Amino acid sequence: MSVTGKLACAPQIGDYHIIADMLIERCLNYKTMRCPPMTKRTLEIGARHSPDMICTPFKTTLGNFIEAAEQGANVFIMPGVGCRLGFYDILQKQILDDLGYECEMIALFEYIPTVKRLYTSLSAINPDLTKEDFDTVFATIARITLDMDKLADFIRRNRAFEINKGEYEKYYRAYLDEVTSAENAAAAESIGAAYKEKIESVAINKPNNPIRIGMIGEIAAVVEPFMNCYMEKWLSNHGVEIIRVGDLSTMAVAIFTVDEQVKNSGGYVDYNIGSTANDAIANAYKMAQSGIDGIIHIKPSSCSPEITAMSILQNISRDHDVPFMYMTYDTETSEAGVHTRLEAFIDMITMKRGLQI
Amino acid sequence: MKIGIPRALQYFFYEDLWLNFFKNIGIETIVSPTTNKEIVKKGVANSIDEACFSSKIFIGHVEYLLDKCDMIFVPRIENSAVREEYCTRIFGLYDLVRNTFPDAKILNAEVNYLYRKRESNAFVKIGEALGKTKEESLEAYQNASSTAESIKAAKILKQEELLKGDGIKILIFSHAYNTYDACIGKEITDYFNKNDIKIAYADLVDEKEAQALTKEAYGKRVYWKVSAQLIGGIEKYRDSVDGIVLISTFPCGPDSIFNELLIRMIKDKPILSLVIDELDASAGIQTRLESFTDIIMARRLSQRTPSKHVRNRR
Amino acid sequence: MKKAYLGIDIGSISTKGIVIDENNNTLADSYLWTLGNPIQAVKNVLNEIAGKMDGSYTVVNIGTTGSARKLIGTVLGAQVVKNEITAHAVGTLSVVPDVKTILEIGGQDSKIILINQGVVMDYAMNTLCAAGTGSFLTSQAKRLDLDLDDFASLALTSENPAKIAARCTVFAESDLVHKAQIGHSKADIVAGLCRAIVMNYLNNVGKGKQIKSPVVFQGGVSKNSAVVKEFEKELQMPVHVDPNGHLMGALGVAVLCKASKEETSFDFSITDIDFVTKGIECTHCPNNCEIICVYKNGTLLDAWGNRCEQGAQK
Repeated sequence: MSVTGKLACAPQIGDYHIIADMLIERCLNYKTMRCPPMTKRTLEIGARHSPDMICTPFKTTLGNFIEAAEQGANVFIMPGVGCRLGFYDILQKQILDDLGYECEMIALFEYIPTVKRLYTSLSAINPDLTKEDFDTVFATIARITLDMDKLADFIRRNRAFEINKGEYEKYYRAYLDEVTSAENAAAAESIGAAYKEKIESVAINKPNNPIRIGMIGEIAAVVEPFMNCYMEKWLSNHGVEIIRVGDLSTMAVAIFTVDEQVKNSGGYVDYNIGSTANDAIANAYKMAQSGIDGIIHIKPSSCSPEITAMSILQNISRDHDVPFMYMTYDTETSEAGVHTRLEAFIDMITMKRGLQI
Repeated sequence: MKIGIPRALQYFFYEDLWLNFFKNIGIETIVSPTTNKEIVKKGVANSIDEACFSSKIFIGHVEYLLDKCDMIFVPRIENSAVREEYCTRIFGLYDLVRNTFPDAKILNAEVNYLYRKRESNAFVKIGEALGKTKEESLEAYQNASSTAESIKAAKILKQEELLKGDGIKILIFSHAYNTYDACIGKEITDYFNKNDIKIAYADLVDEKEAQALTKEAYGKRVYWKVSAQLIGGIEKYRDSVDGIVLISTFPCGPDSIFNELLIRMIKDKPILSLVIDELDASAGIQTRLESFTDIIMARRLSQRTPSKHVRNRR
Repeated sequence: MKKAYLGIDIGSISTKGIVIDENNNTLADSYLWTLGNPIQAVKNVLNEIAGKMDGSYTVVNIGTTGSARKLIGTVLGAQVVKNEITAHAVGTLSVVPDVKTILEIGGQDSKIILINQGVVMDYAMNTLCAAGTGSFLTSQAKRLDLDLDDFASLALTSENPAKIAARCTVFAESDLVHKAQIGHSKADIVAGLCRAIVMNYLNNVGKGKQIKSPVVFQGGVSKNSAVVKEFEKELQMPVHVDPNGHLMGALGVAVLCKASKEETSFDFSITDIDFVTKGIECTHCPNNCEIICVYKNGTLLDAWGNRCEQGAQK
């Protein structure tokens, strides 16, 4: 039974809206809709109604919400926690109000994103939500998040080498379609296992020592292909194995393991420097030591923690002789420009290996 | 032993506490001079281009101090209580300085209430590093702390008096490190002083009171300490002033959210928003200050002699 | 018949072409304005080159670079289509084998390339808007009613360059007007602009990069001797400007052509063929991807520009 008149929408950040949709449908009995896929118009609308100085994900997600509101959505979902993201909900609600959209903004957390707090937030909206039901839903979506991130990670490392192009993508999409109907964690797990087998048996032709590129940075810019100008697709098409950090499941853990990351940073940092920037540094350090060919650091425009991280990454780059490419995304970023830089980056690495470009 | 203190960012929150603490334990300090063009230039040259102007200035002050003291005081302060955080640029300062100037000797102690690392413990640690006993440091800290508090209380009282008085008054909403910096806020406050406009500062407000007012206004606690305090100040003083001036440096994370919210929420007062960066475009600022002054003057006049039309509507 | 290799660099402002022999000796070159029509510009460049070529050589391989590399690569059936960063590095290395740093300020872009033992180790491009690039300098020269040569010689006469904010075109223009209004001399303003371009470059593109000698400066702006002087002053090392610096991109792809073993027979009569490009806006989704279709004598040669799979190909 769905609550009449409520149509909820989560912003587009990779494929994670499916997790948010399951949470809202099952815990609040709201209907959900997917925001219209992000396009240039989304960026234009989002940027037009956003403050200039704000980080780019604010603009893209506001664009998502406005386009969804145009199609009838009236409940919007935001995490309500973490750096500036923790205040997106207040300001976006104000902007949507000013634009004349009658809507509700749900902030899932407050201050620290714990499972307990999530239940508190949701049961405040739906008093009939029992802890048992919530636990079942949470276990299911946690399973799905872990599985989808693992599958995507495997694909990322191998997509460049698949023999029948498009096979991975086909299976991954099918997995996402099927898993959203899973009733509980066990069902989700068996769907995940079935697709893992299919995905792992896709025929590939992988050389012994392919060019390996690491991707690190701010989660929205790393995860959302539209924001990073389909960088992963471009790299895969150019024969690169991608090792990416910064998916939802690792980030969810990263928030609570900053001390660990500090310890694993090779002495480059002593403290938490904000948001998930420590995770980027610890992983960059690890990658640099593993002899990776190059690292791409991606952040939205004006992302403060990642700007701090850059000062440190420059030292890691210099000390370990690993080339870095820094990319800042804004709503004005040109895809052609990004691809030119990527091409030059791969050329540079190829030449460094002493190979013909 | 001489400790260098950069006159930037955190300094403007803790000036009285820090200086009195070092005085009380008998350690000599050197505070870098008020920001000048040379310091700005050094800061810009040693910072990531996209970093906020205020943090570039901080880096410039550190560089100025490098060869003038034995250690530079850059404590790593994440928060001043649970849910009262500084912005990430501020709590990343220590690691930023360390990576920008690998040879700099830094005097550091951590304040992080999430880990029960209190301010008092931090000063004991600092004292330890300088050869002082726990008791000496604690006493010095407590005295410095109460001195700082009474200085602030007196400033708040004075401001409340000023707001009760006559004259044109404006309220400045800006991080202390911007308001009182010679290359950021000074030109703006100088302008108002010259034109006999009284200035109130949103950060001169009791912290607890400010927190409560902010939560009331936004329906949720604002975990950024400085923003929460400033918004509380706006809530407290806005009815007593003729206009509000927002001063930010480019690009500021907290201000990008809250300046926009203020502009959207406050409809009954003229608001001037000024964004400052290293571009030194003072021509534009003067023009904006002049037209803002014209607007608040005109509103005053129209309030004093309400037009017939307005009276009829009542 | 001796073998020769053709490289063409099609930029937004100018189009360059070069033909080299097996030993990288230049056999013919050409440098013309693009004037918004890359295909015509390339035809003109090819005609000029054909006229300069010695009949004993035949072009066996073609490469393109620059922002229209893909379009012209399709039109000419090029074997090598390379981005301009790699092309510039390769070209410069073939002329100055021990080069360590390449600075480049072109019409729309600026970049830095760091080289160690003949291998590109690091590079960066401007992340901000076009301020500080060639087109900006041209437009400001026009505003001050100067041609580009006078611009440089006037700048060199200044002893006290005005401080100009050149990070953002809009800011810079208003600042420029302001400086003129308050009475700075034209020479000081022009010198200030040259200095601002250098500072802007070093603070953005060159940030965190170790600039080592030998330094080569290229791109349209390298023709401005006042900018060169500012670079030398700021870097405290000699900065070389090759009179043929503008040809380095074209030379780079020509050298890459030589390395690629694929051979073809190229006929300069291609300039008689009619090529038409058509931009179509795909209407399948609001991305409105601009799809570029290239037609050779009326039949479609190639099309590109789609972001997604479902878009219209042709």
